[in-house]
Amino acid sequence: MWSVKNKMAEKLEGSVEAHVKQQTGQMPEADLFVLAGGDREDQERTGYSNYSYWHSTLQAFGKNRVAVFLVFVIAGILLFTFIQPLLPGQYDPNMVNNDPSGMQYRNVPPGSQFWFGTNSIGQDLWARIWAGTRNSLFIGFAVAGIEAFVGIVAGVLWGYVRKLDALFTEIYNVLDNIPQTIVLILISYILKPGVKTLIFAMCLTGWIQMARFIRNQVLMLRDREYNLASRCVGTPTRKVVVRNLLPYLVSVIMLRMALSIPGAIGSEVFVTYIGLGLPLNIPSLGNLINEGRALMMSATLRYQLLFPTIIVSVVTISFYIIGNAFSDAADPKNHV
Amino acid sequence: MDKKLILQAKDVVVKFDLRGRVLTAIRGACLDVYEGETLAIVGESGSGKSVFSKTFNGLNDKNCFVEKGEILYKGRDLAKFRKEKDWMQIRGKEISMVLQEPMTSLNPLKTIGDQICEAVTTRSPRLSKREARQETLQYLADVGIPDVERRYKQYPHEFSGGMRQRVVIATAIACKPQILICDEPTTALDVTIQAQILDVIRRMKEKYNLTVIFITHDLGVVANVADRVAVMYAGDIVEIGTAEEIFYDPRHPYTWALLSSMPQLGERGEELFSIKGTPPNLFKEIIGDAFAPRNPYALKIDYVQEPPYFEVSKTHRAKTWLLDPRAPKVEPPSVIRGLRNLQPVLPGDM
Amino acid sequence: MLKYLTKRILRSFLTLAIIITVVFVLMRQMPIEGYFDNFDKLTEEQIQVGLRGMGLLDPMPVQIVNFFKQLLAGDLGMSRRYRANVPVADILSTKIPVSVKLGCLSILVSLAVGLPMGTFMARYKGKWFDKLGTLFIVFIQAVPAAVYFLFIQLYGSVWLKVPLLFDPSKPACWILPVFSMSLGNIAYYGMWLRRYMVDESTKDYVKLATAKGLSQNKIMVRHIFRNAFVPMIQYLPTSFLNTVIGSIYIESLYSIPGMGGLLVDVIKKHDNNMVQAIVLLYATVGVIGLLLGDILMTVIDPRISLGGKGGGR
Repeated sequence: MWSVKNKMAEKLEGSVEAHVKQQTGQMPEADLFVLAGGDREDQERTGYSNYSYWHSTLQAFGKNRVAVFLVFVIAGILLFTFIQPLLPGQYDPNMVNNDPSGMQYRNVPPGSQFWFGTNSIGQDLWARIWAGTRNSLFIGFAVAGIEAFVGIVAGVLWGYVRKLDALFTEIYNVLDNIPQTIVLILISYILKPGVKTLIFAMCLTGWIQMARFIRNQVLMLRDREYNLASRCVGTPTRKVVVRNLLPYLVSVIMLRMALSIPGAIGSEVFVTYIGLGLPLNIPSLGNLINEGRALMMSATLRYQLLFPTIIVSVVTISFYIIGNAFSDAADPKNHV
Repeated sequence: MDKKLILQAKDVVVKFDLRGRVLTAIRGACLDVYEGETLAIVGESGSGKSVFSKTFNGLNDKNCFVEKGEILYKGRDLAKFRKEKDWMQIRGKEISMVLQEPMTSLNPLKTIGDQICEAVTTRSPRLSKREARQETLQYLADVGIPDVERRYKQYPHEFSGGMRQRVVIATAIACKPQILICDEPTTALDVTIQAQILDVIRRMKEKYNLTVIFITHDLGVVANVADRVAVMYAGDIVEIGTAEEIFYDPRHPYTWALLSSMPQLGERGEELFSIKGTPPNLFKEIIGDAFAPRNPYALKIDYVQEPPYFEVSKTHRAKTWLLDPRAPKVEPPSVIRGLRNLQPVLPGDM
Repeated sequence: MLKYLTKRILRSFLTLAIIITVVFVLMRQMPIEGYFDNFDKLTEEQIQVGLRGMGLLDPMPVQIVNFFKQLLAGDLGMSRRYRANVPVADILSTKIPVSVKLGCLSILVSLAVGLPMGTFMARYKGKWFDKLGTLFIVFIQAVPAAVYFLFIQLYGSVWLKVPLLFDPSKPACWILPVFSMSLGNIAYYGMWLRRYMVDESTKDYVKLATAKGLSQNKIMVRHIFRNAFVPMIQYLPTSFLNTVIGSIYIESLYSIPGMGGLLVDVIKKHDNNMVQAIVLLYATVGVIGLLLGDILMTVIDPRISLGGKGGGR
């Protein structure tokens, strides 16, 4: 009763058969029209599985050639700031160099003795620039790390613990209402200038932005179905946070961290300019630029401004681009 | 069914370029749409039904391209359209659309009156402001929105989901289209609202002589509205026929599976049928019958050779080797056999 | 609506009060020489008398209350070291007009350049204009302003044949400071507008508008730009006020006699009262900016209901 007398099929039979023969070759026709038997495992195998978040993220990041190149640039610069003092024939960044007659080597242009020249009191700029880069990068990494850590912890608490909501919201209101530069200036003005002061002042405003972002995401995600499902199954809250929430946030957290490094370096330059930065015996890109600025009107001394600005630009642009590229790559929406 | 063809798709192949990897969403699908009918395209999510319908008005994303095939409409081949300018002549006044999500398919910052009016003035730029407004009010009344004067000035967030979908329908109708594509128009709505929306679409179809292409995964909805049904799987139409044929005499194992998984057909106390496995990976080339790996009735030939269409009746075709005279006689599942006996009760209210 | 506004304004006052208190307490931790213009020459006794005269030896709560009373009377205190014993308010009143003039010019330039830039970048996403704009934005956002401002000053003044420092009587002198001040805002507006527009353009309502048969340009202007501009409106007052009140760095760099330059001067001179007053002024502006932003949003976005409920975040 199920057999269908199929006119169409009959008509087509000849051609279909020929076509099939052509494709399947040796297989005899009798075998072709035999039930293959449903294979359970085979049925399950057809999907899109074998997806790994981190693998896909790295793969997507690797496709961005510029960003990968810049990662090497940054790694190279970072490494070199540590290697440089160990190389033979290097000057101490804070030593005032005198010529044989006892006079200071003032504003010596770049040459074989002083590769990047000397500054107005005879310190070697090459050594100072690398020491300065090291200090500035340290400040940048420290700020990014502290901001992220404090921000994430505070944000998760803010989002998950309802009792803390009012307190955090009030802190947020206060900090958000004052321009960041003003907080930076105020804290630097009140405390003693130094690396710790700078890091503290910069972190003071940064963490709350991160916390606020995390908190909003937590609130948004807290009640989404898959987390509800997790909780119904009895997964502890801590696990829900780490497993379900954080991976989703990685993209934005990394972006913020990568952007707060150039931000911190820029703030350092700015704070130094208004006279609240690091003392001169702690070289940094900020005070190098500031020294260079004081001399920029004289064309022959402009090298003192040029070298540090090139380093600052390379470092900050690299971090900016790497951060954006990584955040794109970490976004599951961009995974193929 | 000696009706006039209005839209004809032949061997359409649609691909997506996803950063260098190519996904084949539609694999040589053919479809005839007749004037004045309601044609339903059904299939599970990811089967390509929505992508397929969007190739008719060029609404797919930019990384989507029609690689092969023809889509003939009023003597023009829509598959050849690349430029925005070409589509401008089709979208709206020829083929218009109702989207799935009523909550997001209206601009939240414009009054709904403005949004419908925009469709009216785009279609007939010469209308005066007052005339356009009058027409808009008429459309709002048509789709069953009370108190139109007041509603005209309200924003989408002041409407419920069902009301918004009515507004979306009014917008689509305001373009005065020949064909109306409804892409899962009731999926996001409450069951009680669904029936109302279907009714609105049916009334609009009568009033404005529309041809409706109805996309859904809900067979209950199909039974309510469709004259003809096309079953889609993995980017191809595997079976097509009148609603009666598809519901009471389905031939393709995939259609059997779809019908068997309808809760309405399940036997009390028995576990509800579900289709095992997932649709094929469309990044890979599919050899043979795409459904074969999930098909308990698969023949060996299904794994090597794609089946052609076998004609069951003048209006009914299916793409399965089971219809080949050489194939063994396969009994469909009992639920499907049971359907045949129900035939007289058509059209069933689901 | 009224209820919401009252609540929102009261909130701002509360926040401002907290800020003032915190800043005041912090400033009291500063070395006392910042309250005298000739600290080195004074004897211990004279210092004590001076401090008592200024009320700085009172218990902290009393000082705070006194300070608020003083503020309500419009008295910002006296400058001690920058200009000895001149009221802070008098000094500020000569500086503010300069900053406002500069800031208004800069905001006009930023909007006139930044908004079209963002729109075109979104419209031609992925094309050369977008890439060029992105390059510009990356540069401006990444490189510290302190660095490229210097080069603009250095080479710009040579190119325009203007003196390095600001001279208000010469119109050409306004070009470089205004240009420099605008760069940041241009990049900022351009970037956010582009981002919001790109976000909006993938939304369903754009699809429906396309399906209606609207042209791409009309959709861009009537739907996408409009909707993308709304979230930006919230931040416009803040950005506007911050620009108007003066760019600390630019004004100091060009020696422009405005608010921003003044802050750097008084910091270098350790004039505590002046620093305090200017910091509070900037903080107040910040509070007002956010307040105005929120109010604007309630007026413009119909989704924020007038009853004050359901709006929020």
